[in-house]
Amino acid sequence: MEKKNLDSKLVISNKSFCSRLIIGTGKYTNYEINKKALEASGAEMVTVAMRRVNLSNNLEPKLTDYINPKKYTFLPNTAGCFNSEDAIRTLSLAKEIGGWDMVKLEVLSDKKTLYPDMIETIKTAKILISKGFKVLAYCTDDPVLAKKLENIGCSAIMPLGSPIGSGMGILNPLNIKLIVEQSNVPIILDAGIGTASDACLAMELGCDAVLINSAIANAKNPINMARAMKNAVLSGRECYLSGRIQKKPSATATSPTKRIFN
Amino acid sequence: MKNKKIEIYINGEKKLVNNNNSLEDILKAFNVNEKFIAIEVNKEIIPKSLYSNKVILNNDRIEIVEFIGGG
Repeated sequence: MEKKNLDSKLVISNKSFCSRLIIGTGKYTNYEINKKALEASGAEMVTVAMRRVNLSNNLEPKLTDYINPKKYTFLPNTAGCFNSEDAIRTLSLAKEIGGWDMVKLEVLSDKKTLYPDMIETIKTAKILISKGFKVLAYCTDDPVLAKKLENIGCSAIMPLGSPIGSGMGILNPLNIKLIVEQSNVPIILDAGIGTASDACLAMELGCDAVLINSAIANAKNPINMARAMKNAVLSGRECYLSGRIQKKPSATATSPTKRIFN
Repeated sequence: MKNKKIEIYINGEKKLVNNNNSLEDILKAFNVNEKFIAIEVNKEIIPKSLYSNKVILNNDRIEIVEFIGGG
């Protein structure tokens, strides 16, 4: 996979994107702020959830009134699904709305950690792929399981940095790097980003993109934070492509050691 | 029989509606905008093209879903 050019696009399945930042649309105070944050982030893709229409209030603001699915790529997710059946049902409904076949699969295990149930995730991904879905799979940061997801045909692998919404950043950079190095599909760091340096680190490690929701939506100023994340992703990407220096336990003088006068 | 009310469930809520209503009639009755929604009747997805033909029967369970903000 071509990863060497700063201008190279993020290609997932057959779709290409200039921006390597994907943002969520949950937890914002309102859709107006969400829209402005999205514009500031420069993202071209947003994750969205599926829920019941509110029958008792037809005037309730709708996501699609603020964020146009024709302008931005909607990535329907299966947030809140704890088994294969619910996840497939949710994504089949998303597909029915407008032919969305590129989806974010997350099959969760327990409510405290919101860790993905990887056995159910792999099982569900196989079924979805056989039905023609392009699956972006939320997963643990285990390189072995990430490889399994790639081998069964997932379009992108989305390892967590730390638990969803925790803002703990990337707890195991080594594993993320191992996943990046072994993969032939895009790696999107998903979950746990708390601040710009976390997003930057994800990109420095070689991730192809990052997905951020809480860190922007819950920031005191979500619009400015969205811009900060945009810059962090660009900076981290350029850093990765430029090749950082090796870490050493001792100092190396920066100024010439020759012709020192005394 | 024609004007007899039937009992159905929309998004988990029990509703009384006229007999022989199509799914399209139900959407109109509850002011549901057809844009960017998907519908299941008894867990079977109904394509938009069939809304006007799909007759809603007593005890049918209708789920109408849409996109909302999510991560």
